[in-house]
Amino acid sequence: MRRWLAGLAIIVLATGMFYSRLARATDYLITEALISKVSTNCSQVKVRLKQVQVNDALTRVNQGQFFESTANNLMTPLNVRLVANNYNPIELLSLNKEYDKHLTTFRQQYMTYEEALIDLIQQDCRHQPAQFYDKLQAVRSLRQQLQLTNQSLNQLIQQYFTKAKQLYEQAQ
Amino acid sequence: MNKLNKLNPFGLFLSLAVLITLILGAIGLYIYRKTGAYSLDLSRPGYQKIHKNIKYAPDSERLKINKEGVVDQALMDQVEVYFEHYIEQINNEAFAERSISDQALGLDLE
Repeated sequence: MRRWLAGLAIIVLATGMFYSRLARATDYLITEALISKVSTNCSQVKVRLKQVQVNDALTRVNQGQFFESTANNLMTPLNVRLVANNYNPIELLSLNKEYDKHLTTFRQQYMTYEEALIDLIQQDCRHQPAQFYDKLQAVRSLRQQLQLTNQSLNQLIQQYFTKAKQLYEQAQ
Repeated sequence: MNKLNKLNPFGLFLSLAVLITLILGAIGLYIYRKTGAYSLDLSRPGYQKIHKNIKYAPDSERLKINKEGVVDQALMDQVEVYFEHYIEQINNEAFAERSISDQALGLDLE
């Protein structure tokens, strides 16, 4: 019975590993032509990635500054003022909390993304183009997550403003 | 202990000072990296040319809601203006994937 169970476990594991590799391989298609292009255009690709790295650093600083300012100069003082005037801004407080969580995620995701981008730039794309492209795909995925968090923060600011207006209008 | 007594006290002092400086420097670097402060440090080599593009406003010039006061239409009008000001400056298209797409990197096969 034990042998039978161990055999079954091995088969399940092997099947899982096979399908996970298959799924990973079909996420994107690395053809010989693409590998050859990565290798040939290696220096051009690296120059472009370095430009992206510099531009992203500036975007991170500017976006982060506006996000922090919105929380510290608008949301927090408005919450305090509403509470002091006997309003019950539960929804606003919850949106503010959600916003703070997203802001922390934004900072962490940027750090992870930047580290992966630096690692990608250091990767040898002339002699190891396939590994380079694998890393490029990982960086793209991290960048996409970062963009989604950036958009969520923007949406949360707009939601907060709409709810604040509604709260005031309902009290009138 | 005898060997320690024979050491030049000034030399010992200098060695200890260098050791402490190295330890503190290492701790500082660790905190600089771990907290992500380096991500915001645009004085790093290679970033100086974009330094002038930082949209920095001193705290005193930033639009702020006052914590004290009544809640009335005037406040809500102020809130609307301030929120719109911040929303306008936030780039919703930041970190778009197209910047590192195959096409942008010159890797498209067509």
